[in-house]
Amino acid sequence: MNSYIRALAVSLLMIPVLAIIGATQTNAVTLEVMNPSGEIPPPPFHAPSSRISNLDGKKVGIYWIGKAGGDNFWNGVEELLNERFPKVQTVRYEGPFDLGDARAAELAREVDTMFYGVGD
Amino acid sequence: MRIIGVPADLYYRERISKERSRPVAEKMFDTMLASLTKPITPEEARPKIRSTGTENLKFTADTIGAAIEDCHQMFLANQWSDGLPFIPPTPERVKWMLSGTNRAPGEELGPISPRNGMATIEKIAINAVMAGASPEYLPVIIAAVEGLADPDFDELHFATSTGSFNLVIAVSGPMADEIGMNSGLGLLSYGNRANSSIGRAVRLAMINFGHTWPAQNDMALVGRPGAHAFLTFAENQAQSPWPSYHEAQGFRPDDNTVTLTVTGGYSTGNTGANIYGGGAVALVPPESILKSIASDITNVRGGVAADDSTGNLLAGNEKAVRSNYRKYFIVFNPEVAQELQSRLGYTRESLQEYLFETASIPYELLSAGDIDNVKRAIDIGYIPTDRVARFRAGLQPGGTVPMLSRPGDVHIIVAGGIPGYTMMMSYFLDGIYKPVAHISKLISGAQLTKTGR
Repeated sequence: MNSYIRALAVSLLMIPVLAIIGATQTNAVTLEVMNPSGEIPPPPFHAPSSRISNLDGKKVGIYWIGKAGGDNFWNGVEELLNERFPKVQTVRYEGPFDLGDARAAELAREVDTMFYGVGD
Repeated sequence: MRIIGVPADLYYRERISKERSRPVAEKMFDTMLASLTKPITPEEARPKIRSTGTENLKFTADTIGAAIEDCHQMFLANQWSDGLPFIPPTPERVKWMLSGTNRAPGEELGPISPRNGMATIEKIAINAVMAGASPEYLPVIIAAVEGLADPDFDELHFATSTGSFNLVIAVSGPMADEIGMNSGLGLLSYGNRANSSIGRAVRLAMINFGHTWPAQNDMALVGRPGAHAFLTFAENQAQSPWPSYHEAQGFRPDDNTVTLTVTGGYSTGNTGANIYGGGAVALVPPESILKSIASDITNVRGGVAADDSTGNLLAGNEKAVRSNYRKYFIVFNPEVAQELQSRLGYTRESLQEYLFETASIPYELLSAGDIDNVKRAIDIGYIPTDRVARFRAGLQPGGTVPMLSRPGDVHIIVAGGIPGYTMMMSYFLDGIYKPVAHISKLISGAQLTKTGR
């Protein structure tokens, strides 16, 4: 009998709680929308070339797309290279944003490693 | 390739001289050295391939208003909206929008720069819903996005350049009236649903397909006039004295087209937008307007001023020549156009010829470098064959050298009301990163209008 009364009391206490949950479930609204972004296909992957272990005696290319101001930055980089690595030979290049496969192959033959700089 | 970014605030602030740039180089130097000499890691050799997700999203809240607000917040955080409220693109609204076209939702139009997200008919419809468009506008929006996605059209430069360049979206053909576009007074103003939402849908398409965002990859330093909807209007054919613009571009009279043309955002001289005429005060004589236009084209010196300062896809002679010449998109208001035709007898073609000839510089005023530039343009075949003799004749004492490469570098359309102003918008003749900066696309697949089908 006691257990019956306890069960009844618990049930009566739960009624308002269930009512609140029920009300929340009843009033909640769900808005489903479609994703507006265009899928970006995975780009073709090219593994980076292996690195040289040090710069001593190496030819380092510096390629810049020619926007005004960038030459000042690259002049600084070239000075630092020559100061810290006296045996490094720097080679400066300037040209279009997309140097193309043929020109890239030429540069690869002319230098051991290179910086390619792009910016506005 | 390993990529190192020099912080923009540091680089730009100090790039003015070698002395000021040196500390920036010092700050970056160790990182740059490491990128040359540090061995390639296994992660670099075999990176995880990522693809962007495009699944539907759900927002649950106590009220529909709260759910919409959550949607707005999330879209803005994801850089999927333009900062203004938008219509949530529910599947039901997108289906409704797609009722405006008979083209398949899955049809791919191509990637949009700079990040090359794929434009599909369904994705365009989603963005059109967000923009507040009506389904009968959808074929116009699709044609505009087709222009952006055309491999020849250079949307990359104007969308990303620091120069704050802008896009003109001009609709020509009977469909413009059918869908209620404004081609008259206040043609670039607010208050017209078609003009506003078509332009906004194209803007959202650039955000969501090109994945542009201000100060991240859209580097327009001061932004653009009409940043949310570009410069979107229709041709005022009813008051034009000339055949439609799309006919002049080789389309049939009953065709409908969207023309995209890049322009400078402001009146900066080399590229930009100018207005001419007296507006409501008085009709400035068209002769005077033509002289002002010719003078402005001449002053740019597009045919002779070698400009090697822009980094672009080209090299050597071709770069120098293509960086010089400009194109002009002139929007004559109807009153001036009617005067030009009825009193002065101009056709569109004779007007183009007039500007080609008038916007010229006497040979005696050219420097040796100027003359070399013109000869270079001829030598590399940039000047059309049928105009070479004209240019060679100009390179003689007593001659004049045109600042346009050909009369067709000036595009003429009639729009605006009476009274009105004439506008001229200019940009490089060619694209910087891709071949062209001006393109017209046929509107097709319309389901809800009599034309554009």
